[in-house]
Amino acid sequence: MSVSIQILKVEIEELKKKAAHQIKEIVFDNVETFRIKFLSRKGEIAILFEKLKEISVSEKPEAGKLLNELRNQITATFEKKLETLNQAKTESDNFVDVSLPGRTQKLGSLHPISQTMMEIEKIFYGMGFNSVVGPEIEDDFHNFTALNFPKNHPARDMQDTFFINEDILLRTHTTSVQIRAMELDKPPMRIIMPGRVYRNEAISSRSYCLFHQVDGVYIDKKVSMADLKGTLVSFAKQFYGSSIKYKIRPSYFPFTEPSLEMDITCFLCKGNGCKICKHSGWLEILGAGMIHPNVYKSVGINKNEWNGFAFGMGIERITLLRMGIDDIRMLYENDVRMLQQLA
Amino acid sequence: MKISLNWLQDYISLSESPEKIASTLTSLGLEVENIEYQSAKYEKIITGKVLSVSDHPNATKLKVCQVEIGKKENKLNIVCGDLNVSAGQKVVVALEGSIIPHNQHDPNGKPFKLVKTNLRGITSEGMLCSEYELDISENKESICILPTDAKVGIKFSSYLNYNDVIFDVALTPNRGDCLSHFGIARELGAKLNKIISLPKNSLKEILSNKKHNLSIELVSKNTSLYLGRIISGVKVSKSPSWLKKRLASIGVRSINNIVDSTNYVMFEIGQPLHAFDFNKIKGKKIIVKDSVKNEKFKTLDGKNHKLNESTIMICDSSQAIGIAGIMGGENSEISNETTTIFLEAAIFSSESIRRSSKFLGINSDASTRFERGLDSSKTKWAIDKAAELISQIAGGKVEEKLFQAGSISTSPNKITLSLNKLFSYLGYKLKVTLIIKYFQALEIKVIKSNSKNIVCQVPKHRNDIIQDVDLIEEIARLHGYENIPSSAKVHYQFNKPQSKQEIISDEIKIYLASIGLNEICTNSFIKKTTGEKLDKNIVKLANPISADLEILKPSLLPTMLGTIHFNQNQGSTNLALFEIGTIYKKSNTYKSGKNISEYTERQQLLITLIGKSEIKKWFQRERNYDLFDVKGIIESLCYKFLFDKCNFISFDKTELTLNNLNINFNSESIGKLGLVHKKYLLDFGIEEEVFYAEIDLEGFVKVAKQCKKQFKPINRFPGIRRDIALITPKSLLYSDLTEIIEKNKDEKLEHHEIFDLYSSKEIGNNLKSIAISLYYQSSERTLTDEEVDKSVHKIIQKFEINKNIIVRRKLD
Ligand SMILES: [Zn+2]
Repeated sequence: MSVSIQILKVEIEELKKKAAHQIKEIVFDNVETFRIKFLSRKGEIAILFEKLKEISVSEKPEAGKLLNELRNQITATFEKKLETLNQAKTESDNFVDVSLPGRTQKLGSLHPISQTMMEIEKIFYGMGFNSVVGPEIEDDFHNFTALNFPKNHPARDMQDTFFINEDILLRTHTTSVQIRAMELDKPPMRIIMPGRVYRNEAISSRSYCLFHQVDGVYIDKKVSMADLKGTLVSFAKQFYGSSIKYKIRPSYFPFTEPSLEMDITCFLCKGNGCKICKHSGWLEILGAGMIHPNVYKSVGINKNEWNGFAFGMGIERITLLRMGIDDIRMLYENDVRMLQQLA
Repeated sequence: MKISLNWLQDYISLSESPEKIASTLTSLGLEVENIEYQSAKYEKIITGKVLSVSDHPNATKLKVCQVEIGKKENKLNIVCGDLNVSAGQKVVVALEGSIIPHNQHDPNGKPFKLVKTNLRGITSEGMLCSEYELDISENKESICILPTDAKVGIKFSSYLNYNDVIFDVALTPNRGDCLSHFGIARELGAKLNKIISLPKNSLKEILSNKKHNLSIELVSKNTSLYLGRIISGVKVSKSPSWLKKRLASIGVRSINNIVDSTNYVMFEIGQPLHAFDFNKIKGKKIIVKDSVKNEKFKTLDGKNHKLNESTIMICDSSQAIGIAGIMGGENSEISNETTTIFLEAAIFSSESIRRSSKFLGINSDASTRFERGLDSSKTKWAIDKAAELISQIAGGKVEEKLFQAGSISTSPNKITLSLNKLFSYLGYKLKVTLIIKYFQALEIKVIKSNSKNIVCQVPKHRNDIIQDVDLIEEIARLHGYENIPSSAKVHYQFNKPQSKQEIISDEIKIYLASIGLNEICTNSFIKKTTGEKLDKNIVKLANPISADLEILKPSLLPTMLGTIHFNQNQGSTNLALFEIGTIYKKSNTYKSGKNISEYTERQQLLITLIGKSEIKKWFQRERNYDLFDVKGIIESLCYKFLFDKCNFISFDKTELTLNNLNINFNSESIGKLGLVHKKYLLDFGIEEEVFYAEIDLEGFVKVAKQCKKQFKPINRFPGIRRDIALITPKSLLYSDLTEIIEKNKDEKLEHHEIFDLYSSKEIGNNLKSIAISLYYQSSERTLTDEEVDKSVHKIIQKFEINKNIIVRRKLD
């Protein structure tokens, strides 16, 4: 049995066509299939080589040459294909979908009250004030009597008080710390007193049973109302912006005389009048005044030698206004969605 | 307090705009909170005339009216529910867009805005209003019919002559003298430089002979002056409309012509008055004396009261007939049968009235004025004015005798004001003539003045002016606070260092927020039963707002758990929260609780983690929080603020917590962490695990004060790492292994760390595989493999002799 070279030539041509066709179909996944089918030891080219045995000796060199050419050609095409494929693969490997979202960090947050408090403290630290804290559970003397709130005086009605017993109460203002500071330290003093205070009022969207305050005191020689005004205006401009307008008007606090309240142009409506400022265009931001002589007397400071001023502001009110929250209770509900919004 | 502009005009001539008057009052410290224009009340509500009435084609309970509003051609089609409406009637028409003061269909009668409506197929172009809808009376049944001569097509407010402007003044408690129209006029006069005058009293001309007698006995020390007048032959009835209108304008309900007269005088001059039925006064004797404890009394509102001692009572010969300055008694009340009245005007002590008013829980217009102090120089004027008014509007004769007990106190307050002090307070100087002018405007008499001092005498009505600083405020007020210069001068003063605790507390907050925790701020008050589970030394309020907010919290945990539950209900289930707040307890020295040293307040930091630490994302798998998250936060916190490692010592579970660890630093306990007990969580409706860490901030700060940041030279020689893998029982603690390492290491071991931990079937039940890396490094030279191997071998040997530990392999 012998195979004519003619037949072999046909088979070679068929295989060539077949391979050329299939090589086009190669994608990354079936590379190996192609290699096994054509180029492996038992592949179709090898099978043709087997037939060489049956070719007559005279035709063997030609047949061998043809077969070798076939193998080289297919191998070359395959390798070329492989190269293109590899190149494509690297390209796709290096492809970055930049539109994917980033790996965000968890959104922690400071409570809005802390944010306001820290900002206010920073401004007063810059003006040379020190921070002093005192107890929330207070006695009548420090919270009222020493601050010139006589017993059975209507001024006490300004602050509905929580009592622990007849003598002990929850401080209604951090002004009580002022008395403690004056007892411990001698003037000159320039301090702020941040902290939590309590008022026995029904809880509603406008009031809560507690709130936070920053009070301040400055005692030195020859401190005037002009100094007080200068300090307050400087604070207000740093905190609310240098373009705000302000007005101060007389008011009443038992522990200061003269007393005043400060209004600034409503920053929500720029002074045009809105619901928040009750259409007045003004927002009341703090109370202040020259420290009353009776206060010095109660702590044994010579009122003829020293004088000074005190001021105080509520943190919640400022926070609600600045952040546009219309219900004070939300500050104590601590909905994390709100906390993260205002982070 | 409401102040009527028309009423003010009785005492001062004001041509200024209401806005100008309001800003003047505010600049004087009498803050005007609101200006109410009466004319705005009936915007788009006008008078009209019904031209014709026909039946509604589709409804038997409705009529269709044609109403003329002004010009003849101005006609509206209005559907009306009052079947008695008839042609020719003068009515009140609300136009589209008007605000109707009361909604008849609303249980609370809230106002509503009128819109064009289609009523059963017919469009109503307006509404015929009832008196209730117009806020005139309670009549809801029929529409308001005006007299036949009423002008058609004019504003209803003009028809009513509603042209007043009402100021709502927020008075500070020191200004009792401004609790009247005359008082406010006096302030305006001083600031606007205008003359004020009280209307002349013409009582003298109408006084009649004395018919009745009565004696007054002043027993109470708390009453300085008591005046009385008898008016006989009065007829109690409705007040005339001018009086009703005046009282209504400032929100005071009309009662009868007698009570209205006394109220009128009170709002005019500030002196409260009371009228008794003379015939009900037994023994024709008035005794003013203090009550005895537990005395009972029925006030004219029908309420029974139990009195405390020293309430000033007005009594007759047999019983009490009124609580002085607060409320009259039912037994002496004016009724329609009253013909003779006894009118009272007195000066009761402010303190006493305030104490009684607080005790009884009655806050009346009269008690408010007594509490703030009265001007005794106007008491006689007031009783005469009221008597005159009553005789004018209720008939009757004012008897000539003015009954009097006690006297007007006469010791005017003299104050010396140093000009030096004045200028130093104000920060600017003023001419003495100007100061004197201000004083005169305020009726403050200048007795003496020279270049240094001004000596003044304060008028009776200004009981708030006591010291020189009060005078300084008066000058500043009249000169205008806006004229105070704003000083920018810096008083040089060394700063004292800020308190460490404040600083660290803020820094901790910022740090925790920066690593992804949300700061919360919670109430100080909690429920008693909740607090008692945590601590027995709780501090209770004497007057809590509610039983749920009865005690001060002894730990931050309850309100934290409340916050977690709230957020879970809002759908936020993965939470990392912290709070720095105060906790309150009775101290160890607690006895009577009358001294604040018997209470302790400490600052605490509480961290809680709940739900998932990581949620499934395209780059990460989800993972629940566990103990090591909270432990890790504490470890980081210690590194950050104490610059070193803290130690954890486990202790038994408590009632409320599990897997507890004490956090120690330099053998000082600074807090604890663990898992909150399920049992406790259920009280708050929480079912998930809550990991917590609690740090005593004062303890932490105390430790932090001793810690210093210290630079250690960076080691430039390369280190060598050796890993070892061990198999141990699951119950063997990692700390037991590190203890072996620590005991057997040499100085070359720089640090060691666990880097793998797992258990599997292949390893065996109850066993785990732990891989630890050992880092060797010297600060002097490069280490050799041999010496490191020797060192590692020494540790491995110690592991090998422990029968619980299998050294699996040494990993290079
Ligand atoms: Zn506004």
